[in-house]
Amino acid sequence: MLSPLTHDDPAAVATYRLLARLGSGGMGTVYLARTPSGRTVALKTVHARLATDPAFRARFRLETDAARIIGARHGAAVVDADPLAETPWLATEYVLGPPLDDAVALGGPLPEPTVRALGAALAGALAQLHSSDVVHRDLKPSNVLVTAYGPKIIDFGIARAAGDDHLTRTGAAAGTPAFMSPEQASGQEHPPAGDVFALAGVLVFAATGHGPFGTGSPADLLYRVRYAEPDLAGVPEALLPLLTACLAKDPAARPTTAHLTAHLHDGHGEFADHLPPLVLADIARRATDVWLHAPHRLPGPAGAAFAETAPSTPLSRRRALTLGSASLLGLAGAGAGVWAWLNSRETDDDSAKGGTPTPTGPTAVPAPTSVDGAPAALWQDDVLDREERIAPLLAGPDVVGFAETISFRAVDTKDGGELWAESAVRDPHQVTTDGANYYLSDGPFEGPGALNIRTLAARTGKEAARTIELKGIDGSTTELLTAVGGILFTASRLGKRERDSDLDNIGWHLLAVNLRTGKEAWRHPYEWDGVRPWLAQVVGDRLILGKNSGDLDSFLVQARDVRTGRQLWKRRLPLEKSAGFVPGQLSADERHVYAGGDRLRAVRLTDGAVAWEYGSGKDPMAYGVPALADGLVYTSVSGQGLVAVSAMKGTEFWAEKPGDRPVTPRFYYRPIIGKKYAYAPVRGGLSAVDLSTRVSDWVFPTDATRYVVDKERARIIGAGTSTVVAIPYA
Amino acid sequence: MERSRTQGQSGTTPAVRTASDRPAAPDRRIGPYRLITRLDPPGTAVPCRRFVARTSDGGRTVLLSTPLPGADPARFAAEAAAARHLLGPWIAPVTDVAEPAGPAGAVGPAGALGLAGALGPAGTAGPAGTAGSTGATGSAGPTGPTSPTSPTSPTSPTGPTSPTAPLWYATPYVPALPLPVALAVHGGPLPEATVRALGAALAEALAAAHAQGLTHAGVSPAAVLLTADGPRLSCYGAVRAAAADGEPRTGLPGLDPGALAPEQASGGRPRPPGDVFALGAVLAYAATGHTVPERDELPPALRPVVSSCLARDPADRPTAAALMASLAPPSAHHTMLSSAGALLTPGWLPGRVIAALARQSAELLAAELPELPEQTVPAERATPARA
Repeated sequence: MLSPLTHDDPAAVATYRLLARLGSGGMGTVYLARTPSGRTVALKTVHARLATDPAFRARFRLETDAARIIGARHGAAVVDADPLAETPWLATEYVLGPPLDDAVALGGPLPEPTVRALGAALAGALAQLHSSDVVHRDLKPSNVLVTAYGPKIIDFGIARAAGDDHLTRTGAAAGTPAFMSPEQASGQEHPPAGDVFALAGVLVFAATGHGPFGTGSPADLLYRVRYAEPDLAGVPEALLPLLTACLAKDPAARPTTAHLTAHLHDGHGEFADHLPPLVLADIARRATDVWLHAPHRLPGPAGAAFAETAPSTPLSRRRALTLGSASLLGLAGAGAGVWAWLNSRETDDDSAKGGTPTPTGPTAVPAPTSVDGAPAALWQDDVLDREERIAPLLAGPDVVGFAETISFRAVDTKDGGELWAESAVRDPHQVTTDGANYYLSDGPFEGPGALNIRTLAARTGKEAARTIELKGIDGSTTELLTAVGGILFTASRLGKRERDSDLDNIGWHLLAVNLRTGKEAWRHPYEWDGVRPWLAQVVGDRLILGKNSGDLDSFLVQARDVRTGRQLWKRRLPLEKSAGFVPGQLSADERHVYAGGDRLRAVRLTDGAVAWEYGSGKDPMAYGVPALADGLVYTSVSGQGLVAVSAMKGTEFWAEKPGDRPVTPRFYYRPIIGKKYAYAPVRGGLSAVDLSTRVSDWVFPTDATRYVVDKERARIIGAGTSTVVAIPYA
Repeated sequence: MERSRTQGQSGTTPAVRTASDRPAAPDRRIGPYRLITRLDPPGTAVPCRRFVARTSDGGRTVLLSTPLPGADPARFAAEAAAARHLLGPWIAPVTDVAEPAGPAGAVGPAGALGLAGALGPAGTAGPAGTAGSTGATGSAGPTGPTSPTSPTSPTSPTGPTSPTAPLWYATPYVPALPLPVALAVHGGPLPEATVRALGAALAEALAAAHAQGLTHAGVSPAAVLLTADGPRLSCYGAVRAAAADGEPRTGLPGLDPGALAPEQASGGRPRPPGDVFALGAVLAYAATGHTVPERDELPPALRPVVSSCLARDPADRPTAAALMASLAPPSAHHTMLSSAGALLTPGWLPGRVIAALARQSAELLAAELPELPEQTVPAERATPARA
């Protein structure tokens, strides 16, 4: 949410000091900013290239006016705006609540009372707009922010039209196909009743996690919106008549907003009473995090002036202490954007000279004591900032790398000492390894697309091969899947970057890149529905891909021929009984792919058929990400702990016995199987289940959740939201 | 319709309402800070005055505590100085303290933090140090320990204090509701799970303080702040500041009689069992709405724990560590430092309390400092003790 400023963001816009980036899209960038008197706002700016277009400026002004009309109760309060400035800007209240699509992704479909309260409030907001002769035209889940006091509608469909060339290409007016009204989809005027149609779509999404017309290409969606019956599977029965009426193809047949408000909700209680705990917790987090954010700025390319971009507040305790006395600028390693102050050796020397104490230094401190029978950590270090998907990537023995919030760092598994860091890479999907090298991707944020792939030697971080550049591919959103045998597999969008626009969903391809020749080996279109990560593993001559479906109700698995990319089979595994379950890792052996969910399933590699299932699938038990060892599949079972199942047949081999200390398994993370212990991620740490007694001997307390094993050095390396830790492996 | 979900209804948060309804007077200042709003609704028994305040450059927002009128200023200063070194979870970290006015060099290294609240002997110092005051937080989040590297004055905190010097200490602001306000917005006693999580976290905080040889001596419903990720203990040493040991402390302003252990009320030196008594009263308050619950009013599952805390004989009360263990039974993956956190999962706070936190956050994000005509207003005017 709150991302650091980049090196080329201005220090201020008008009188607003910029604090952080909130997002960036086809139209411009939104910042968290502060007035001289200390008011904090969301500041929306327009791209320079759009600002030169008088027609766009006019639309931006209309958008600003519409935002004022909807007002602070149903929208984001407008603080000030200057549509005539060189860089037009709009300052609004910083709204404390997730967009509806994020809220659903977070906690699954919303319960009926929430949907009703949401619907009644949204209908009220639309009624107010319509009474002022304003039609929204672009109501969709991402434009509805769920606050503790009710939803707020943002981003009218006015200014969008200009920046969104794909809509002009498909011949439609402004709007989003998935939530468009039929009249809008056929290019006619979008009346107030069109907003009612869109509102019903939003409520169907809220109640089920999918829109009434599914997903797909814009052309398919436009067709379905006009002619197909809405898919209302999963909508609570009591809501069906009302939502069905709203989704009538004839605008005149749809209910009014007043009718909706009256029939959706009786008005009892406060809005917050109807929100599920996870959404409330997210609101609380946003309300708090904005105060904890220490403004800082990412370094620019090496050689850029640093003076203006020096962080005003420390990035972390550890680095802050070295920052003060270290030389701020310098080149280390070979890649552009490697900073001396992130290079441990240099900063350490400098800080030693300056006499500044460095509490943890470049080599992580050994954790001194053992806790509750657990062994002491071999070493432990804190991680910069929070990154939910931080995942250790082991490259051979000795080296493990982590994508932190502002850099990718490689450390020695022996002592946690930093080997090198690369600040151009910030997201886990930008990096992968084949065990010898790390492959890092990036691409320009503007202009024609390009995918750059750099090969860095795992141990030294030096360029081990020439940078591969593939034109016509958006490198900034590309996801590196895996690299095996000189082939790198990626999920990439063709064309230039169009972040946060509807183009996000189209043009996705699977690519295989020959790392020796730097040429593309093959590409195949791939339907993208916005859900990351994609998981990939090569088994023999098959590339196995897995990911959650966009509606989160299934886990999609497919196999492709490594040489040609031809799809051999695909399989949809249901997840609905364990909604929100997101396998973070893929597990496959030479026979099957294994996946958790409402049951543990094995899918045959040869044809994609389900070879066996374990668990009844009836009870609410969920099965976690499986691990494989010695012909057994290990998985965490809710309320039970670890079970081991025969990989061949799916018969239970053993189950963890309850110890005197109950543990709560964490399903999203894969257990690690050793010779003496099976290590299961549990709430609060890593539980070591003795393989002979089948009882948890101890729990190592840590917030780490994702683990890899360095077997040569007999240690497990784990990473969590604030820690990297090494634990003995036995 | 949605009449009952209007914003008016939600304004049942007295602490928050003040932010918009009753802006601080145009030039209320304490130290380098300018006041935005009071944290506590009028009329509550609060051991110290608490404000949300902001540096003049608008860059940093803090929760500012000042002594009640009549409190011993030297005692308050001593408690504030000691609080800077308090380590542990669920304790609002003190990052900034008014310097006691003393010999000329007293500002010392703390001058770098913009502690302009220290008036020179002549009483002429204005908030000139504010420009340097950004960056005083940053390294210490609300859960972070008080940084041992923070520059502190070498001067004794109990040194001579100018009668006109405003006394205060500051902690970085995060949205927070005093426990009584949380009950008011929730519309009654809090759910048992909330009380349990609250109790475990506070017991953990006290256990950490007691292990460092410190007694909080100020635990009361109003001293407990609820934030999104857990409670925070504030108002250190209110009991000690209210009256010296040996003097009876009954009926003193700011002290919640129900949260005052009998041995402390009669003038005994505050010791850890007194904190445990006060915590029992806090939990009783959270679960029932008053610190001295009627018989059978407490939820059955909490009754034995709370009753044991409220034992008249200090020797009969559990230790804070034992209290934490009984509220959050330790299991294999729980350690001393994580057991309370395990209870603070989504849902630990009721919806309306979260809504009030979000509203407070939104109002303070939107709050602006009035424009300063001149920066030469004598700082004495801001002294709350003289108001």
